[in-house]
Amino acid sequence: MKRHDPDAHLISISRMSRAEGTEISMLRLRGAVRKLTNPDFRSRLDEAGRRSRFMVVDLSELEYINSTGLGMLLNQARVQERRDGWLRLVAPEGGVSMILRVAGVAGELRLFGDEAEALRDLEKAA
Amino acid sequence: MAGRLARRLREVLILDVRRPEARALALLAVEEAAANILEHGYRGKTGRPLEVVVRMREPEIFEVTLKDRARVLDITRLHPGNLKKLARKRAERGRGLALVQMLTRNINYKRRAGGGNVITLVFDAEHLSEVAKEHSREAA
Repeated sequence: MKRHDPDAHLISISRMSRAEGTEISMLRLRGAVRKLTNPDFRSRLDEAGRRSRFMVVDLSELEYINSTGLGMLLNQARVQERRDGWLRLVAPEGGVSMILRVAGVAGELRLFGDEAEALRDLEKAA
Repeated sequence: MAGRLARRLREVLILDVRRPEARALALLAVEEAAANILEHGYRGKTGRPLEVVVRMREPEIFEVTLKDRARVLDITRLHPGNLKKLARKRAERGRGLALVQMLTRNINYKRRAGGGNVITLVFDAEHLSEVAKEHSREAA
């Protein structure tokens, strides 16, 4: 049995189609974003961002994210905004949300408690 | 390495630092300082030595000392950016040291005998709790 590597992050990327035809790219992360996993994190963000200009990144199962990872999120948000879209974060209390707030990221990117909440907001704004 | 460091630190801090938000934020600062050493001190080369020592000074004050054999780099002479401005500009880099400064009560530096650096991060658990509370209030 393969030993669990707590630094690895398992990611799923899916694309959801909404009733009005808007497509949303959903990126779910697990584990930790640290130095060794940064390049993979960047490429996953880029891949998810290319699928749709509207992107939701779910950090609910992330245990830790470093400052470089935060920077990648902000950079991806800028990319989505340039495509006339946006990036929203799902980060319930108790997880990495404190890191996001302390680092000033929560002031720039909207945080939602769960995916349903993030998608409701997208429906209002789309 | 970073994951093992975090786990080990968590095990040590939980014994003496009772505020969970203080532990979490101290861990964040130490991980950022260690990442800084790896990236700028060791220029990204892995497998290089890094010694981390935790010491309780008073009930709410503790220090974490990082000792390396990297090129000499006095981080107390650097001027990190403002976290809010960096976020507003969507800056990808530059916030690690700003975080370390914000979360520590003091940072002490000295050159290490035989080459390298000794950085001591001094934490105040009460200050860290205040930081956590302040940022929760901002978000509300």
